[in-house]
Amino acid sequence: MIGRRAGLLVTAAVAVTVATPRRAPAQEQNRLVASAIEAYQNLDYEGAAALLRRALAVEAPSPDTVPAGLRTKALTYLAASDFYRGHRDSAEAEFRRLIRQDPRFRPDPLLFPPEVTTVFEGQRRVTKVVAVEPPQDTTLRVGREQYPIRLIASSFHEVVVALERTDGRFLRGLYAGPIGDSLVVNWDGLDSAGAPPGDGPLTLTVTSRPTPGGEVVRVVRVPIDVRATHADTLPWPGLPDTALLPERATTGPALRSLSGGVLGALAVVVLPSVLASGTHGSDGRFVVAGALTVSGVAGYLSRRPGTPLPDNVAHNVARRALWQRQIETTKQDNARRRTAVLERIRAGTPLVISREAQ
Amino acid sequence: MRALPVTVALLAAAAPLAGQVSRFRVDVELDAATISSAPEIGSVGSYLSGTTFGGEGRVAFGPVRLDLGYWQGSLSNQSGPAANEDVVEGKVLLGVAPVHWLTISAGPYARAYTTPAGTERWFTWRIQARAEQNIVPTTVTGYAELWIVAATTVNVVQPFSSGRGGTLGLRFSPRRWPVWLSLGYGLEQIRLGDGSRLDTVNRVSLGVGYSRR
Repeated sequence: MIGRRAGLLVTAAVAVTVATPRRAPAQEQNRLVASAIEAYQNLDYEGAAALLRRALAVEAPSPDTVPAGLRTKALTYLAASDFYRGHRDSAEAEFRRLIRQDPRFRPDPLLFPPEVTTVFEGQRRVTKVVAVEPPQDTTLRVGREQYPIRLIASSFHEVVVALERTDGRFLRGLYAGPIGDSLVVNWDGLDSAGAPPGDGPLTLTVTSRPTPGGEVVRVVRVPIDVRATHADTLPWPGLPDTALLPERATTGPALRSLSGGVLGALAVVVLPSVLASGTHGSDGRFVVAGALTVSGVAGYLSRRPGTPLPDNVAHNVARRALWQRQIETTKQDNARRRTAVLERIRAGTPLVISREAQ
Repeated sequence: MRALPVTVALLAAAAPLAGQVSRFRVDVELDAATISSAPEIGSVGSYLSGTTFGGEGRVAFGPVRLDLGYWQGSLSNQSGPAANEDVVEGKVLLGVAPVHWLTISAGPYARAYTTPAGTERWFTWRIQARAEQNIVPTTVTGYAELWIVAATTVNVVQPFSSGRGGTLGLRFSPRRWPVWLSLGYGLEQIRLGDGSRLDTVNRVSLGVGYSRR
């Protein structure tokens, strides 16, 4: 009874498909997957499997042309449909395909019953693949910063992570050991001799083995382009003329002192006639005027041209010492900058070499 | 009282220019001064002289200055009809220093002459500029103060006409000495009743002061 009903549904589905006007591939795939899921939910596993295979093959010699999310969904339902059709081998192969595409994938336990997820888990345990996720484009200071390479594994196994030149010569081993769920392997930008590798393409290889020393089951090769630059050095600090004071007196300050004293004395003498014409000022003002005159002369003598200015000399000594310290600091900084190499690292698309077809 | 708005406006205008050095400083000075006063009413003049003692203090916080002063003494008649009198003076000036060598300030200056016949009170509003210049490096500083009397309240019959004055002097303060000596000469003349009365005061002062930063 079930077989007859299923046959009718398949026939109907095929008829609908043939009769429908030609649509865009994405629309066609969506429609086919939706019909297949409906068939799966109606326990029409034959019809569901047929529709899903068509969806995965629509206008696509390679399944890569199907959007990733839709493809994962289609493959999961196809594996479940094949499992219920009694084609366990096909189901297992489809689950392995899913795992190779995305080691993090897990079927939704709310959509698929335990017998299906158990089959998936069994395949995940025996499928040893790892996804490699290096930063796409980054710059690091060689020897000081790290280039983090993230690895995501389908199940516990052994990996060897290494860098090679494009001609196959070994450059640097980064990691050899077990991986469980995920792992971050860091590269400091140096080769095995501790030197920058120089400009050019490199290959990051991640080799998967089920056990230490076991046979290689999968190699992921990621092309990496490295370009080295040096940091700019700093200019040396200058000592502007304005930072230093004259160390010997010039004519100006001496004359200012003299004129200040003498003019002040004159102002004292004439102050009464300026502010209160017709009055006579106190005679005591001449004492003040005399004191100002003497001070002006003393100021001129103390600042006469050519006289050393100890305060200015001390200021200049301190300023020059500060300048020397700034030069030393800049020297040290520039020495560090000359040895510091910046590497720009760009990662390409990973290439997978596997014993099993992707 | 018209001096008050003028004072406020001047201070407000000068404040944004004020020097940018934020430093607290206190100067205290004790001084003695010989004073001569020459009041002239109409064609009748008198001449009095004497000595006053007092003190002056200045508080500076950054560019803002507050000057306070008080003096008292007695004047003896040297000529004319004026009687001997006691004199008391005081001032409160608030100012700002737009640059380190210049201070603009304003405030009240009061003077009272007490005679057996009564007390003559002069209450003036003064607007003053003070400039300083170093004459002998780190030792002698010269200074000049000029002011105008913007308003006066005085208990005599003649109304206030105008007034102005000035002081010039020097301060001897050797390096690293907290104590200094000052010597100055000042003169102020106030005209009342369009010149029908003139009051002229001369002063020669000698002071000793102390600075704390």
